[in-house]
Amino acid sequence: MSPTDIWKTCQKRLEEELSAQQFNTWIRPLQVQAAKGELKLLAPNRFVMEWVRDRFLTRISELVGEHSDQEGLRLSINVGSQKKNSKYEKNVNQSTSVKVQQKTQSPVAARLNSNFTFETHVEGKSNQLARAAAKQVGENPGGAYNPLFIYGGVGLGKTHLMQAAGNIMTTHMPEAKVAYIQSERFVADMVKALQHNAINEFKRFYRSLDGLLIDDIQFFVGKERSQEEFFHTFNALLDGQAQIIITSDRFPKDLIGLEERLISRFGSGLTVAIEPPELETRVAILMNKAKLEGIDLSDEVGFFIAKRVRTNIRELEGALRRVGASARFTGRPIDLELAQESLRDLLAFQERQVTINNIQKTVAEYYKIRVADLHSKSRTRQITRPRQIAMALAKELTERSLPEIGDAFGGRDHTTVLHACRKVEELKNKDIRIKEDYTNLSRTLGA
Amino acid sequence: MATGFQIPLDFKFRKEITMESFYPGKNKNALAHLAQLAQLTNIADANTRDDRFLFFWGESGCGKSHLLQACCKQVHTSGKSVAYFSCRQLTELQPEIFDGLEQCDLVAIDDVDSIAGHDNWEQALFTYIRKWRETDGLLLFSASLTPADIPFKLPDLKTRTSGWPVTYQLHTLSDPEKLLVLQDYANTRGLELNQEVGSYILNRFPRNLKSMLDLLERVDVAAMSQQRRLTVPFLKTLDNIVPVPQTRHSRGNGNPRS
Repeated sequence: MSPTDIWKTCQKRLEEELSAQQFNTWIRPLQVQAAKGELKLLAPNRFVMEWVRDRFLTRISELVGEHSDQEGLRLSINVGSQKKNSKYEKNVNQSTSVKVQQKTQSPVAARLNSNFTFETHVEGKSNQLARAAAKQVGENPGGAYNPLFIYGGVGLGKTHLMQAAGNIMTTHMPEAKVAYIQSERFVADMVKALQHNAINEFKRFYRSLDGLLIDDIQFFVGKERSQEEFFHTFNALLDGQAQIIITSDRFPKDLIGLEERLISRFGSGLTVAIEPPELETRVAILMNKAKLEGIDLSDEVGFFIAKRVRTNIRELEGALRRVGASARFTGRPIDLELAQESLRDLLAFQERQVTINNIQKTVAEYYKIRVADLHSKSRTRQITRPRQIAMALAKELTERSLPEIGDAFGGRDHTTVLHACRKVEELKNKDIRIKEDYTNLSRTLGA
Repeated sequence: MATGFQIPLDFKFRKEITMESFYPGKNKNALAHLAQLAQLTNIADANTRDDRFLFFWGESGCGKSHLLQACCKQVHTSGKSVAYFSCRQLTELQPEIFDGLEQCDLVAIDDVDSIAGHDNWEQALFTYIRKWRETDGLLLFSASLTPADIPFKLPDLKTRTSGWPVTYQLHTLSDPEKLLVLQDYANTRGLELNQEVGSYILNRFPRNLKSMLDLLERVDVAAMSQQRRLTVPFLKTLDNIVPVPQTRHSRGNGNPRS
């Protein structure tokens, strides 16, 4: 019997002996590697390897002994995998070999996702400025907008814009070395480089780039050594007129835990925000995505989904996938009924989440006042502002009538609600803090 | 034999956790979708699909673990690499269990909602999802809450779990369906479970399918040792047959049809 067959028999026995949970967790992920006179087991990681070694290896060894016809077949367990199916690995491997033959080839350019282009990006009021800036930077890298700092909530398309700019750079200048990296990966790579005494190569690589796209910089918070290294890389790249694009979920000054000098560098180029998309843009995004995926989506269904999934683009696309999958498995056309059915739990969540009560609670918590204050007659600034914001949120996020909203705020008249909504709109345009408060609250409420 | 009791053979009957033994009930679409993914001969084909990440949610006993484990079995049997674990075992595990999983063709993470609120775990899961995205592999999650309801602290993790996967609610079976499952299960054990006994179980014991199957298993052992048929009077004599609370190792295979 070959080691593979022996292992198969052992697995069968272990499946009978262990609980399904244990077998699936610890035994199923093990792979066997053929080797002469040895049965080599591979575990996906050290944790699984140690667990199996400590708890099951003796039994495995007994079973191997029972089923092996080879005298003294050795049994070992290591961390590893029979195959590498990561695109990333493949790309790095491929490009490493290419690099040997053709030195100008960028080793990491392949890590840009070619699907993220300006053609596949839907423009709306909420992302207009960020899009224009990214396009400008893509076409004229290393120019005035350096670094370009894009910030906004999760799932609003920051990565898409950043990579679209990177893709333009590499299209215009095929020789350019443009790297896209998530900030945690930068940290992990640096730690690895330090461990393997390869920090100089790490530095050399990053400092030789023509474009560095670093995603979700907020993960640098608290990682001082990485910040230090990034600071120097950043300066070296700026000196060499390489383009830097950074994304973050918040405004640079709000990145508490990030070194002051980094924050001020981030602000030295252009900082642009991406806001959550408004209804029309959400519909356009849905229609565009549906077209790309060959899903037949009517305007009616598009509006239905976009009206209800307000949080971010990622969830909007998730909703579309669900409707598409339902249609595929039921063989039904995508109509309102199917959309309603397949998104029932998602919609129930949204509707459950955004109630006037919930808005009042969230706003009161945010401003550290009591819900009762929102109902009270108090006209002090500390209370009226939150009350107006809560009313405006109630109008935007619920389908309650204005008299109902007024009622819910201590029996106020609907004209008071109307006034509050207008006032908040006006303040949002004048006062960045009110705008941010409003956005934060909106996000907390899942809208 | 003085006592009239016979010691049953120490033979543990294994419930077959397969895609075929999942009784679909209202969950036909979920099962069809999963079966389609599990049958892909070339996992890389999944990469062209936008639906290679499925999320199943539903209350305990609706068959989440069964589906995930059955899919693992099928994909594994066809020679591909798989990994499965339940986050309900969180205290026993460490976030390092995610390391290297992106190399697997299929990764199934059960009870993913148990991770919420544990910073290290949330970070590890987030990092893993990012790595997974760069591969061709399939990814399955299960939870007792909808993706949007899971109180993840990391906002990025929240949008990734609620935005990406195609999500299915797994519905628990109706009482008549549960009865069918119980009868099927009893048959495979050589027991005959008539309507009357079925109704008795349904009306007097917890109606979670998992608990009912556990109960049946214990009744079977008693019936064998006392050489009795399965009748209501016999069940009434078994005052010690109370449902055993779910344990980590006994839970999870909530939906065997055969």
